[in-house]
Amino acid sequence: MEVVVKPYLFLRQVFGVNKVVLDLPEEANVQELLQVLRCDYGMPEKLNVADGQLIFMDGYKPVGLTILVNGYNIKQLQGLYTTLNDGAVISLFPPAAGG
Amino acid sequence: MYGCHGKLLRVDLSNSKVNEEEIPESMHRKYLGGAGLATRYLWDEVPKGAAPLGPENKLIFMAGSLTGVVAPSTGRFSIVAKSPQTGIWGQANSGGRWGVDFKRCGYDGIIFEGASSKPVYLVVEDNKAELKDASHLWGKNVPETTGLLKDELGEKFNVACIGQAGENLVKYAAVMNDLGRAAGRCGLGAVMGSKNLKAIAVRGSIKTPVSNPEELKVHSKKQYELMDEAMLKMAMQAFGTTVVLDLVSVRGGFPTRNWQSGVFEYSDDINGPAISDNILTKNITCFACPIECGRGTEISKGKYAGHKGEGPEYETVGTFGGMCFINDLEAITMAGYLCNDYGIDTISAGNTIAFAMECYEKGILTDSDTGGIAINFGDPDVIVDLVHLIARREGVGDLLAEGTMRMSQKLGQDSEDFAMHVKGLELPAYDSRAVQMTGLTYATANRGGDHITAYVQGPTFVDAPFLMIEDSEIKDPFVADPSEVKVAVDLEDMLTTFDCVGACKFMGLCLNADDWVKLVNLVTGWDFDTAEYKQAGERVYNLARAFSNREGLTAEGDTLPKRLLEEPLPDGPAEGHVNELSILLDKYYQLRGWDEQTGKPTAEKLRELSLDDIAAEIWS
Ligand code: SF4
Repeated sequence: MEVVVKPYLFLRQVFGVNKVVLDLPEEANVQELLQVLRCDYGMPEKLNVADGQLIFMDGYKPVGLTILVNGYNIKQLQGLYTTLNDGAVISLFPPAAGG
Repeated sequence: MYGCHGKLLRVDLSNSKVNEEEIPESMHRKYLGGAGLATRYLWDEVPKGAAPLGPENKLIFMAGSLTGVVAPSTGRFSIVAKSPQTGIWGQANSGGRWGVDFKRCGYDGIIFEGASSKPVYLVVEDNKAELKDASHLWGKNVPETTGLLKDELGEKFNVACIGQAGENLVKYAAVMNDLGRAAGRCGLGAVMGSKNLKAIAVRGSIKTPVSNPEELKVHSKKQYELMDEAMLKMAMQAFGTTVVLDLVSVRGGFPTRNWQSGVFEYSDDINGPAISDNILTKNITCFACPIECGRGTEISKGKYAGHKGEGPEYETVGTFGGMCFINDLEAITMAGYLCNDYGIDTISAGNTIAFAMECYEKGILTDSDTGGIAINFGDPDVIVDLVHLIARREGVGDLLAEGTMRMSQKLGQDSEDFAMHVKGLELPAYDSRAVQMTGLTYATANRGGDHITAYVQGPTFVDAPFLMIEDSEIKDPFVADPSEVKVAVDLEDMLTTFDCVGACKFMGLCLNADDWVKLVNLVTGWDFDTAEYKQAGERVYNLARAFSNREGLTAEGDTLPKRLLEEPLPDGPAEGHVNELSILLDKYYQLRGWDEQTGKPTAEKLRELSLDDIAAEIWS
């Protein structure tokens, strides 16, 4: 199945692209997606999986990133074990505020 | 007294008199200064039923207790009056430098009363103030007025003023300062216009006495360092307030086509990175703020090429962009510049135009009403043209200048159902069908449909917990959970203190409460613990509510537009959702200690907050 990973804000610079389309086995979960991102796609080094979340480090204190699957925060789903569907859109966000 | 001068100016515009007056110390601590103190004066001095645009209303400027001291992001001031938009308590807050420059004149605030028979401005300098003729400034926009006053008085003077919108009593006119900063909400620019007061020019050199300057320096440095490390700062510095657009959009809560949808397919054309890539020339910051979220911009292509200014902020992009279905960043930016120049609140303006677009689409507003202008969704020229017309109240602009509530009352034909305001104040660009708790906070915000009263968008839409309250976690934003209502109440109380002490709420996201309260104590010499400090916020919150109750607000007013309550979102992650306000509202009243029938704070609650005299009056 195909899923789309969309990094936002400065994660776009980190990834160098606005979206990554990945081919995953049926019923893969977020953890497996991150693994594929890491091994096959070569996820940027500044991104790391630790303590059950995706971490960004770059001169700042390491911070957890927000992962949304189809608009839902994985915290409200099954965390890294959230299962993905075909066509799922996974959005990655750094912390932000404003408005 | 520390953190303040203990003095305010009372300006009787009807009789051209300026007097100095002391502020009792007890009052300062009780209401924390700034918006809180101003609200107490409003309660005491503006009689029930006063016409918002009549001489009985008062316009109260108040700097905060921390305004201008060495502490991060503390350059703000508030303006309080009865609002012409809502008819209840009105408050607007602004950053920049003006608040600091004003406080350096040796005063904490100004109460304007009565109305002048001819245009005037007030000039304030070290311990003195004088009213002057402003006939030559009337009819001028904000940059022109600011420029002329600087020519006249000296470059060092800082100016807060209204543009033509305030003069023409546009219901949502703003008071502008530092050219591009706005005390935008509640139409206080119209109150200023109704008093024939064009501007306040200030320059001063008097320092605010601080209780413990040595320790403050050390403690404050630590706070700066903490902020410097915060990723949040980095994101806002890079992309301004519009940094949140993508997060709101991905959750399906970015109001589109006057809230007919929550998904705007062109959001990449107008988001934070689009602004940085296309128009950003420099960051602009407020006094002592390392976040620098302001955008100095220049339009480099298209028909508005060459225009420069400040913004757009997220709300400007949200209202003129998504709500009006426009993905032309240059046109949105231009509309924002014009709002700054004329002195107009962009949230209300963009929202009102989007409402007009839907009315036009539905045939409720016809070519004969609009003078032949086709007010279509997605037409970038229309938003720019309409801002001109609104500010001048020309043609259909005269109708739009009244705002969505009055327009819908006039137009009828069920247009009230999609007039997106609460209590007359147009809603900001977060759809509360996508985040349930935002609906509650729109319905209960003291000044009407507002997002920054509780900023519950932080822990929901943008996933930024608010460190200053014990627990700001909202587990699932799509679910209305009464057990989480306390988060909204806590946020309202805590954030109220920010408008009192003169600090920026964005900075509040980065720091913890005990550190913050310590900083407040070091400046003011007070001995608050965190709970007592927060309770002072609750006191002010209830006082403002009581003012509105006295003006006739009841529980009935705490509601949302029908569209949010009954029309499910048609697409996106929140597809099928409406806002389930009623599930949350009962709990809210209970936690607040407000009477469910009348919507008034109970006498018991008011007494608990040492507001016995208020209790006696609203329950008499
Ligand atoms: S965060 Fe932005 S609005 Fe707040 S004080 Fe800093 S620059 Fe001003």
